[in-house]
Amino acid sequence: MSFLEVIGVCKTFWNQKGPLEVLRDVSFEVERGEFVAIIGPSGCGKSTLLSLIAGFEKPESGRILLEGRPVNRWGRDRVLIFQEPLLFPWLTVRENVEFGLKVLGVSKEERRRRVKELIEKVRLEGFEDRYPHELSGGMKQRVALARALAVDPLLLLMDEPFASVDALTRSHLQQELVRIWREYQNTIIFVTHSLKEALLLADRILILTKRPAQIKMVFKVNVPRPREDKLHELALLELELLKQLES
Amino acid sequence: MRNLIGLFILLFAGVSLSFSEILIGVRTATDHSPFYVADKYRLYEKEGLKVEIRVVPSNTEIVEALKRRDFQMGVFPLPVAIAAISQGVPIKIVAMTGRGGDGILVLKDSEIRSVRDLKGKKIATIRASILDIMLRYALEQEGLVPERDVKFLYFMKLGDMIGPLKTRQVDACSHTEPFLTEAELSGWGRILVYYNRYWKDHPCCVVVAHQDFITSQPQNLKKILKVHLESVNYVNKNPEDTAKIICEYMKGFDPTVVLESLSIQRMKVDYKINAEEVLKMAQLMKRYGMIEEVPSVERSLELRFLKELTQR
Amino acid sequence: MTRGLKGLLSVMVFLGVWEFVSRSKLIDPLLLPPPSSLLFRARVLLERGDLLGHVGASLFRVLLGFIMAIVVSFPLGLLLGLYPKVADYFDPFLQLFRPLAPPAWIPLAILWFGIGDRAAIFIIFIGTVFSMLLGIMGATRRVNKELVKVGLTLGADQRKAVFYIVIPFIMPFVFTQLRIGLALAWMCVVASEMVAVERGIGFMMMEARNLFRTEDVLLGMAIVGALGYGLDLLIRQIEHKALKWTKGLMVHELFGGNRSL
Repeated sequence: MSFLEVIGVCKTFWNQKGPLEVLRDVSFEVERGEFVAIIGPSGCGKSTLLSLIAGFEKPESGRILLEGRPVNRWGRDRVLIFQEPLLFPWLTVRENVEFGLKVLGVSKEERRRRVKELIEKVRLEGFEDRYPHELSGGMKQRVALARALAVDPLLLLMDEPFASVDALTRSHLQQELVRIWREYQNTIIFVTHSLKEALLLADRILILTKRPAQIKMVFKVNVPRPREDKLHELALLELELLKQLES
Repeated sequence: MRNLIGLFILLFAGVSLSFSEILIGVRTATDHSPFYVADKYRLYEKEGLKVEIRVVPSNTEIVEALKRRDFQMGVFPLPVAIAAISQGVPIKIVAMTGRGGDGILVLKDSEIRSVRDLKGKKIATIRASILDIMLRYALEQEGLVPERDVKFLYFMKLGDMIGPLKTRQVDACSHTEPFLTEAELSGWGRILVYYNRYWKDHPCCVVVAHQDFITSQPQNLKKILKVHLESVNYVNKNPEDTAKIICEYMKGFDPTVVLESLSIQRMKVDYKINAEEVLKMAQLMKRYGMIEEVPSVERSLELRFLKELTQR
Repeated sequence: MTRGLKGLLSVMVFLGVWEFVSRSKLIDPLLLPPPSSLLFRARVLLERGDLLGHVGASLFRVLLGFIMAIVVSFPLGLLLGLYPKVADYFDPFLQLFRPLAPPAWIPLAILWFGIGDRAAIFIIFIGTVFSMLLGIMGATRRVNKELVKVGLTLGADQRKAVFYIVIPFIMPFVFTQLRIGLALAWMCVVASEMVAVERGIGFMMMEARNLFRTEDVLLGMAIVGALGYGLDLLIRQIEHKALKWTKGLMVHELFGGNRSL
């Protein structure tokens, strides 16, 4: 039994123009501790897939099992991180990060301890008492990451989290993410439209077709980490993959 | 050319006639009946005057219209006239129109049997009106201290007080005809006392005229007062007809009730007025904190027209 | 020039012009007494001890009616905003009763609550509650759904999402509603005191009208205005403290220069 099983999932949306089939018979598995990237053309349904796993949508048919148990609705075992950081503007950085802990009813000292630890991990010391509007885009995403990690999720679902950030910051954030992942050993499903990013970060890449999406290919990235100094190798892999996809 | 001149003269006459229209503000009250009668039987036309009687819902509106010179004359209770004069409104009292007609109303089965029984009770009244003044006067005459021994509850309009009395939210109310008679004849109310008992034939409503009108149209004023005298006499001699006419101007009352309310022990329609009673009322008002100073007789009254008419 | 000074200056100019216009009889002083006579009257009434009683009574009724309106409209507004299906049941009543001016409620108020304070407070309540209810309902409907999703994914249940996300989100709108509601409450004062009360500014103004004391009427208006302004200032102070986080997010910082609320 795998950690996460997605079995024959289909999803159709209904709007004024009629039914919109987004996902057709998508099946895959994810092992505990894996870093999986999902990639596909724009609008193919990547975000919808994450939404289904997170429990915000229900599939028309098919099942999603986490540790053998079906996924019913949202919960902190599957935390979704959005493209926009979506920090609570009325809370400081510290209060944002401890939000999930507060909801859980964790004691103040424990919260304080955890938050301190996480803020150090995302390298935002000194900014604890700032408000979101005082931070840059990259910093906000780091807060969002810390906030998600605070609740010890089984599964981190990340929906193009670095898409709206400049290249330099993105590079830093990617490195930090990998670093944190290796330390906390979470399971991560990472949606991106950048093949480069997927090759840099993931153990396995799931490639989706155009809408209605199906799994076109599953690719195992055998390049050992750290991969920041192996960019040449990654570039070659990228070319090879693209050739395979076109055929 | 002659036709054109004729047209202009006609137009001018028409315009000046409409400008020379005199407006008298009155309310819906039984002691304003001389004016309803005069209006109905076109008595002003017979004197060659163009007079319009405007029925207005509240006393304050009549005074405000006088202030703006929209009305030339008005009819309202004496305390209203005194208050207006003391605040500098340039009007003068020229005649009386009604006396008495007010008293204290309780529920038929109320345990209150005399004014003394009102001690500690809640009484509805209209602030700074004649109902308020006469109530305090009556209480004082019976040895009670108004603010201390009785709880006053102030309302805006006469009609507002009936509901709370019927639902026992107040124990009594200071009210006026024809409400008093109607309450009695309908069977649910009892008139505890008429204020006549404490001040026989006390003044109720008076006729006032704007100072400008007195100065600029004295002859017309005299004619209007002449009509008033005739109307008062008519009312006193023909109560049934008057009752019918009153019901045309005061909707919602039964002619039999109104007729009964006109009977002499309840109220009196009269034109005579003297300075002493006006002063007495003003002094009461000063005592009860409604005016600062008692206005002088010269400021308040203009009785020479009345004197001329009654000296015959 | 500071904000306070600018306001003060324009008030002084206004008073000066008014004094001149009345005293020189450009406008009949019977219709518009000069402000100096108002001040004189105010002193007389203060010495007599009446004025404080009137002010206290009206203040009490306004605050009580206003607070009751908040207590009803806040939770109800949240509820109707989050559950439009329930709101559909309430909608006809809201639309029916909202246009009714407070004086229209007087007969019913007297019938249900008797004369005096209770009816007066009810009228203030009814004049305020519908507006605040609709405002809070609208604000709740416009909460950023994505923010709520964040809360849910972090483990909050519906109740916690409402308390920790929806309510803080709508707070800026709520404060605006409070200020509007307070103004409405003051506007009801005169109407509310037509129900047989013994004291109150509205009562004082009606008595003044019956006795043709125009200064007292204007004085009453000035007092209501001043009290309304004072309470509004209080709310603004609280708002300033509670909504510190909105600094940096306000449009006027782009257009009108840097300034707090």
